Amino acid sequence: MLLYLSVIIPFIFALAIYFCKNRDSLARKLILIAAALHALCVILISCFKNNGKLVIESTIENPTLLGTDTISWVILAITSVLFLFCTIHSIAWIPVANKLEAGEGHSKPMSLNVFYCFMAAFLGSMSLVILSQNLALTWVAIEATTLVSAPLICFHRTKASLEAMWKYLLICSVGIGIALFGTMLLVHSIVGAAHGDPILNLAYLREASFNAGWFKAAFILAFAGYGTKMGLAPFHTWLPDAHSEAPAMVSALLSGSLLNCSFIAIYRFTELVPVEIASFCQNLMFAIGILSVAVAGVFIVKQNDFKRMLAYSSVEHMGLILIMTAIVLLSGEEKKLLLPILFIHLFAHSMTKMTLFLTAGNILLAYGTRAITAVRGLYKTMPTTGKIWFLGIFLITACPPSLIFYPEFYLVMTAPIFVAITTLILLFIVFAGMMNVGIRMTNGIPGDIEGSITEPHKLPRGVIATPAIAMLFLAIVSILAFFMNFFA
Amino acid sequence: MITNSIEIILAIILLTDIVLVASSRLFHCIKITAIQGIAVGLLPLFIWDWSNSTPTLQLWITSIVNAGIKGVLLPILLSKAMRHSSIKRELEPLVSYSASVFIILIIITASFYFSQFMNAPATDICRFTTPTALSTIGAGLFMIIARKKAITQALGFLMFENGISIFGNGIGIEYGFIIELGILLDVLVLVFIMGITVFNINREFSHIDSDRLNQLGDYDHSKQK
Repeated sequence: MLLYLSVIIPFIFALAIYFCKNRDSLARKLILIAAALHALCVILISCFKNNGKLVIESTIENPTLLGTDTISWVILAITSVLFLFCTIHSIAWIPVANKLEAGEGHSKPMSLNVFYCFMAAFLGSMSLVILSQNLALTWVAIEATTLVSAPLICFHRTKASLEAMWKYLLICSVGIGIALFGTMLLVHSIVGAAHGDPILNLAYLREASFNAGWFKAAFILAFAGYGTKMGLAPFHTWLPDAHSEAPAMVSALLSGSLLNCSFIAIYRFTELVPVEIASFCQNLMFAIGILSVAVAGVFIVKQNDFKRMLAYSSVEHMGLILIMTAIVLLSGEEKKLLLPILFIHLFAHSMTKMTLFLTAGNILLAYGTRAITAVRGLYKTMPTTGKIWFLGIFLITACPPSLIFYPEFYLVMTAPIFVAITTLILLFIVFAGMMNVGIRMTNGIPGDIEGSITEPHKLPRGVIATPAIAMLFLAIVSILAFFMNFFA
Repeated sequence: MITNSIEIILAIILLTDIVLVASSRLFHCIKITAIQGIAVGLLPLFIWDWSNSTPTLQLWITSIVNAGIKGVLLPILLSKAMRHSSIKRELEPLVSYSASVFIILIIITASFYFSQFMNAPATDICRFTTPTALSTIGAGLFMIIARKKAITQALGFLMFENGISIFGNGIGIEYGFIIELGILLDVLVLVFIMGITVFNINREFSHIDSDRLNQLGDYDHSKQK
């Protein structure tokens, strides 16, 4: 019941918000209530455990469409927290953004009720992806997330955002279409399925035996398809465009929650891999993972757009998460104990990336440009934002005491030697590239290099509050985790 | 008898594939897509084994809704978007029309050749569903790659989607009613949003050539905001 509620509530609110035309304050209240109710649902789901366990799984005897297992609970919690932060931020951010950008000859932004309607529907469809226990339903829901998040990208209705939206729609839809093909082949590869079996239900699939050759084909197609949505190189081309053109909180949600949602689909397929082809699938995931980190490294080092840099950093982390998944799920039972490490990575990446994207949105508002060269001396012009920005970059590059340090450490320790060394070198490159940007933007005197802006707009406190609170939370968690590690 | 009618439907779908990649007038393309959509939507009714029982209500609803959406609703939507953009033809495709016909023939031949090795259980329904599905998927992807206008790309996507649903029908997947409708709804909304986007792109850029949508990219310092 709770599971169904957490999917349905956002959709009901989406409908209600749509009818709040010209009543912006009501729309704002409704979206806040939707976010709060969803968070409440998630808390209740984690409290009311089935027989004292966290797991309310659908079984073969009773195949249900929705259910939770550990990974879906973790990602659902992340999504809910992120959405709450992003809605609160958007309430302060949108009026400021509209005021600052109105005078520069921009076209009229999307009306607030439509924007919040899509936001709420986005939350609902993401919850559906996460809680779905049926691979076809997962597909439907992931396609739905594309549909409701595409309009969010062109909030400002600029030419560039339209272009980004078209690329996102076309590339992701074709990708997800290929994943549907993969899902069909997966069903086809089941050995000895009787008529009327719940063939797409995860509980059934976990027990089923597969024809290895067909499963290989299914895995490759599904991997390519959902990998497109997850932003893995070489299918990542839509991601930097969409993430850099979207307004701050949409970028934060796209990067922090949506990529996790596509990851869950790949995770479901990886869980089912039969032993005969485990090493093939593992090598494929290693290759794509390393390629993602490499592409991200190359593009981060010579980047002159700080939002694109963050987008490439998401590509990098998705690659790392993929490598970790390959290690955890495909190298025998004892490695499955490392699963919590994977969850730490998901959580830490989502929170840090959200904070960074919200901060990047603020810098963009103040300076009116995304060029890295235009921003100098953030410590002097915007002290709080400057500190959050530098700390965020510090944490996302996995410098201890960052939470991301532990997953990356375990990755390098447990991966095969070639994978470990390559990843480590690439991680250093990413670290150098991002730190370079962080130091260049925060230090120095405003206007000391050509093309940098000396007098950015002043931003009200409300806009800075949400990223500041998120960063404070992250810093406290990181430091606590660091000390716990020492004394444990 | 039944098998023959499936083969006729599949032949129609293959013919629409060939005609679509070879025609330059967009209205014509949309009409052909509508025919293909109706054929694909009604395919499950032809695959059904009529000798034992009549199809279930669920099957009737999904096939008719499918044919209605893909054959009537989406073409109307797309032709509306097209009328607003005042573009009648795809004049300079990236691959010329005669070359396109040649390529689609190669795609069809390859699909028939490779589907020999995919000994699907579809063989007991009709052994031509898998090759038709693969050719339609290939033709759809080819349209997306080889054509410039955003609207032709949307048509290519519809073809691609049709191909996937033919494949699903051929291997006899049953998703269940809710999910079946969910997939349909997704396709409907997707093409709807694509139509609106085409309209908006046309208004902002005064063209719908997707190859000229190249403002975004890395290292393009001069064009940054």
